[in-house]
Amino acid sequence: MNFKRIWREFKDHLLKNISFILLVMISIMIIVGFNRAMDSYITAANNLHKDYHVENGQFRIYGSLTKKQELSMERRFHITIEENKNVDYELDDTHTLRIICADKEMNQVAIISGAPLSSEQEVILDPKFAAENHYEIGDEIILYDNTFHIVGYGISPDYVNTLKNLSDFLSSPQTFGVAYLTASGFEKIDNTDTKTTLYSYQGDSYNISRLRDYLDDRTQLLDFREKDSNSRIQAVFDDANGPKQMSVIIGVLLVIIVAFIISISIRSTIRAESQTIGILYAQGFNKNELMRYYIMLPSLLVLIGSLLGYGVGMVISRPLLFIEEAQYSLPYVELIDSWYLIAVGMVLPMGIALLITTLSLSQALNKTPLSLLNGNHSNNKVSKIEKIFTFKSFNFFTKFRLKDIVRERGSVIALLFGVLLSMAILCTAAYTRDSCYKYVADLEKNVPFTYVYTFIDQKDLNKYSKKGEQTALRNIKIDVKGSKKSLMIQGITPHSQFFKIPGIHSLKNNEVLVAPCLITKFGLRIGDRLTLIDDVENKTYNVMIKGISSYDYGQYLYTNIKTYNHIFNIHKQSYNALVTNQPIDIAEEKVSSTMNKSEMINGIKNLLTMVNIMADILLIGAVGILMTVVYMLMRMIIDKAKINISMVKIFGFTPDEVSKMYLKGNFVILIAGFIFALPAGYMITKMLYDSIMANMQQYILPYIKLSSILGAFIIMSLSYMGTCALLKRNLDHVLLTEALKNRE
Amino acid sequence: MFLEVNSLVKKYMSGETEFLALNNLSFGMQSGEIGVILGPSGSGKSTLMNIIGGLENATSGSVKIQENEIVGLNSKALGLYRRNFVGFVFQFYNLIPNLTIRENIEVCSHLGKDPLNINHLIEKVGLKGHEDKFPSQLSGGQQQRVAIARALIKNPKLLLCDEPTGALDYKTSKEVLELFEEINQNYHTTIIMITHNDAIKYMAHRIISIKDGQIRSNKVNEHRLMAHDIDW
Ligand SMILES: Nc1ncnc2c1ncn2[C@@H]1O[C@H](COP(=O)(O)OP(=O)(O)OP(=O)(O)O)[C@@H](O)[C@H]1O
Ligand SMILES: [Mg+2]
Repeated sequence: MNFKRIWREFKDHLLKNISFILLVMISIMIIVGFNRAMDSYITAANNLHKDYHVENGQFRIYGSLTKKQELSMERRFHITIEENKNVDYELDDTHTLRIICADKEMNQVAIISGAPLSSEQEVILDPKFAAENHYEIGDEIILYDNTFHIVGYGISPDYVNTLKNLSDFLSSPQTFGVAYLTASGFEKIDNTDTKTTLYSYQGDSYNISRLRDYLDDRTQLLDFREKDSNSRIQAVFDDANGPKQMSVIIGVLLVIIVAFIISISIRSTIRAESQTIGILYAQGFNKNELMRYYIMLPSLLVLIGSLLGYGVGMVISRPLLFIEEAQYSLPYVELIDSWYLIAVGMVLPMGIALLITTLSLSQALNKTPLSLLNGNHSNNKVSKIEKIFTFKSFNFFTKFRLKDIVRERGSVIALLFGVLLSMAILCTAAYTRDSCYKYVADLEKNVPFTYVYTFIDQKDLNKYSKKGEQTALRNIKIDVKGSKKSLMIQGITPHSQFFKIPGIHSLKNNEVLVAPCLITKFGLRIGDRLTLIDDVENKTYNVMIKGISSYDYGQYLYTNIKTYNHIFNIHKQSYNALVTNQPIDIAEEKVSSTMNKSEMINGIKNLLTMVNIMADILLIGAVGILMTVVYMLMRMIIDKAKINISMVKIFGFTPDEVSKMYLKGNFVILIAGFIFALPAGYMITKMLYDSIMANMQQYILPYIKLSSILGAFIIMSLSYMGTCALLKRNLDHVLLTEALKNRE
Repeated sequence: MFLEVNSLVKKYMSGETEFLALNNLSFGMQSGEIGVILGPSGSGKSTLMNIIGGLENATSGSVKIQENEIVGLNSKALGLYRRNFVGFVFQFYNLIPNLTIRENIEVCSHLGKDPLNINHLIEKVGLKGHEDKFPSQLSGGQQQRVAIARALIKNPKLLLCDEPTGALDYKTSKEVLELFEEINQNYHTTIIMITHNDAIKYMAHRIISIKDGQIRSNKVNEHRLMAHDIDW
């Protein structure tokens, strides 16, 4: 092969070729970077589950099982049951540490750094809480008047997502963490008389449902939760899959654009050189030799681009782990390389490039030498479409431009695609950022309470009822396309001081209002009938969606207390929770959950830092893609029209007029792309959120600010103007002699 | 004098060695003349024409059009000069393929201050009925006529033609030459025509012959023939 020729061709269109390499690189980098990072993270989480014996599920009952009961159930259902001992200790008003007994078969502690527990005076902390609150290995910490030495940081599989309550949206390591003690260490501090007991189990799913029925009949079962619906365990998988899917979609679309560009560029090269090809052909070169001649450069460019992309993807996969590491704790994540990434990152682009080049080439080379020599396939041909669109009524420059756009429709479509994709990425960045900020702002504004305590025992609720307002809360599930999703249903008292929802008190029979996020997340509609599943009682109830509530801070169904009782067929008093403005002084074990407005807000604020960084990455990527795609495609159009450009320059058109004829008006294409990009950005964001929050009891509605739309538009315009300045230089550099040399 | 060329020098550098494409060349032409430039291949004809047309700059010397010096002008001023003064016709037509015949001509009507009537011109160059066709649908001679009409539409004072009949057969060549003659008579356009066809010189007012970048002879043609009557 003649490498000198290839090198010359590469140099002659340096910027164009480099942009092409860049585009291939970005696509492969995105696919490889995100997939390698997220796959590694998922594998690391799976390994943690396997090596440290994650539970299959857990249940909480009132009171506790005797050893004998445990053994008989284990034998009966071929499962293992283990008490999951833990107690919440309040370090001060705002900091809670959940102390967990680490001497267990299930959910064992993986050491992240430091040493494992070797004596009852030692404690292991979760790394995020330790980092946020400046606890170092070697420090001492006092728990229930006992001093413990911090010997290491570690995490168990059931707290990878260190949520205080299972219904929490995000962890908040500033205020909540977990600590692990040995059994004897735990005994020293656990002097509290717990009313409820948490058990973990392992076993197969057929036996599990029998276990649940069994427990339901014989104990007061408070919660029964398989690992899939435990967001402390499950969220990490959903979360890692979101960016992975997104990266595959973006990467594949980019590869399509790349393929488009290859085909356009090959076709125009062939057309420009049709007479040369004809001569070579006539002199006895065969199709394969010619093919090899023309296939070299594009293949080489794709190869370089995908190698670079693969390399950079490998490099950025470690920093990209940050997306997950910001929220979850895992032992050191080993980056793993998989065959399919090599296939997707290197073989696929090469394959696509070869396929496209071969197809475009063989189509051109199937012509007879004579027809090539005659220039029948040269740039001078006019297609049917061009004959149809005459643009008679337009003024000269507009007509000229429009005709050029019709002529270059292949490039224009690719341009539209490129703009659409890059702007969709930009809009996704804006959507994620704006919706998260809006969510936080709305929480501050809209959450109508400061605290909600859910009581285990009715008597305790009665005792504290003067401190706030009673309400009824229940955790239920609904079936959405075959998978069960958790929701809360709340029954609100008449004349509530806290919850002011228009229309709530006129709900009858089994009517409920839904939070807006449920409409979007699960595609519910007003008028839908839902079957509520109570996993604990193993019963179902029916409700009808009457309307949308004014509150949107979680996955809630709202109704009035009378309807609530009707739905669940309750005749006695059904309140089980207390809404207050002030914290109440109550022992931790008497409430099954506490909702705290400021903790809810703090949790999500952690998300904002991450979202900001991700949005910045997306922004840079989008601008990069936009500029390369616009530059390359416009450059190809200009190169093709070189002779005509040279000609109009000879006539004496000024540089401004020349750019009016060959550059202006493309902005319309950008605007068209932008208009489509907004809904596309919404869809990508929703897909991302649907994946990440699939099993969370929260949802963020995709939202974009008007100013962000404007900002995105301005960024697009500026990038376009920058690219046009580069292109204008190209136009200015088209030589007058270009036309004089032409022999067509 | 309409055109005055004085001591014109054009040097090309090819690697280390200098090459004088035009070597101290001088001549002049009156307004409204047809001038034919003859000379062997490589003698500098096209180079001379490109400099007169403002497509290239000379190394030294002077070219004055109606007393205005164009040697040494920057590219912007040269552009303006071409726009206001010059029309070009080349051996190869270089029409814009996706514009119709009318539109190809129209491109240049935006350049002059008082362009000719386009329908009139189309009729004059014998393209009536072809206005809405595309260049690829026309024969070579017809395409060359479009190129001529395109050069004329802005009504330039100077029409430069580099082998305008080089790609045409006898019959169409003669038609094109008759067209030039007509234009010269009707619009008083000064025409400089480069050709390898010796016979064409008989229709010129002035015959200039060039060799090795220098003028070999510059004669006024005393016995002009009509384009119709020349033969080769
Ligand atoms: N850009 C250039 N660089 C170097 N040399 C050049 C360049 N353009 C022309 N020449 C040289 O200048 C000389 C004159 O060229 P020119 O094109 O004016 O010849 P010509 O008389 O028009 O020939 P022909 O009849 O073949 O068209 C030639 O020897 C040519 O090689
Ligand atoms: Mg020449």
